Amino acid sequence: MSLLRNDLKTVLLATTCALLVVIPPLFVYFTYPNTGGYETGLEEALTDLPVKPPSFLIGSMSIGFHRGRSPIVRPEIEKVGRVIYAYWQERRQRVLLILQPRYIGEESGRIISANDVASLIMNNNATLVVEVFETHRGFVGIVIEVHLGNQTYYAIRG
Amino acid sequence: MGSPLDFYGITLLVLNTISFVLFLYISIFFTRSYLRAKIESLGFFSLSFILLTLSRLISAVSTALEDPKLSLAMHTLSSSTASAAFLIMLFSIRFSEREEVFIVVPPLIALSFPDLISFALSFVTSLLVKGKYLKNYILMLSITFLLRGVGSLLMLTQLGLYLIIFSEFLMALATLLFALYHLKKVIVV
Repeated sequence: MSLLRNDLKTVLLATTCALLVVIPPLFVYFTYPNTGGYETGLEEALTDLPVKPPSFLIGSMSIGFHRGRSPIVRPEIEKVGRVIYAYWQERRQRVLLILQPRYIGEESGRIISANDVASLIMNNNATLVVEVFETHRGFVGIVIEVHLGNQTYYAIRG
Repeated sequence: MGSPLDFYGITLLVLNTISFVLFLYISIFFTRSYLRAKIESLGFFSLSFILLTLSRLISAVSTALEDPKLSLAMHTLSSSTASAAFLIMLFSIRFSEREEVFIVVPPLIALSFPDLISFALSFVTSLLVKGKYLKNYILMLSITFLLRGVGSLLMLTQLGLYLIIFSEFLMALATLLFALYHLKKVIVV
């Protein structure tokens, strides 16, 4: 008997398989939140895991627990040791801030390191724009923009 | 550029790549057998192994990709491809033995839970399939899909993350054993 005979069972099986294969990944791809790719910074917050978190794990956290983009102003920012926290008004929660390795100035085009940005944030009246994710360690904010008066620094990914 | 793969990532990549090569060999063997003998159940078996081959390839790609969005889509695709493989295998077992009417699994369920669908299908397959070793391997695979599905649901806890990391490793290992077992059968035949 030929495998490709056109009976109802074969057609149903082929249709079900095609839908089963195609729908879930497309659904995931097209409903993925617009995080600008900055979710890779979550690696820094998942240091308690025994292995480097694979990309699909970071992706799973993003699609499941991305809590949007929020502004955070200077009075709500505090430094505890080497870690910067902020108080997130919207949810009344403390957010761990993760800095990207490098930032570029909008006007000057100057590239500065995460350490420089940390100093600027702590010593100036900065406003931050962060992508917020909920994790098992609490809320984590990836700092994507730093506004200092009329100077703005944008995160350079990875 | 993200940081390169660590030992865990490289292990997953190697296990998946070996499984892919072995499944490819088995698929070619079954396809050639089907083309010679034209036995329908053999054709379905061949199709399910082709899908498992694709699933391993996609899984290897998802491990190697740095972009989380694409990696997650590929990760889901590897589950959904495997679930289709088990659906065909299940169909083949039922079809060749009793010619029972096939009941279609509502595809919409797969929208949210491809891993749990893969678990359900592979678990039923493991109950119906003959052969102790094959039964055990499919059961082990089904458990990994369950762990992966439950891990996704519990991702806000550390346990959920550990479940996903462990299940991915177990799945790569189980698939390798599964492929080796079938390779042995194919070589013996």
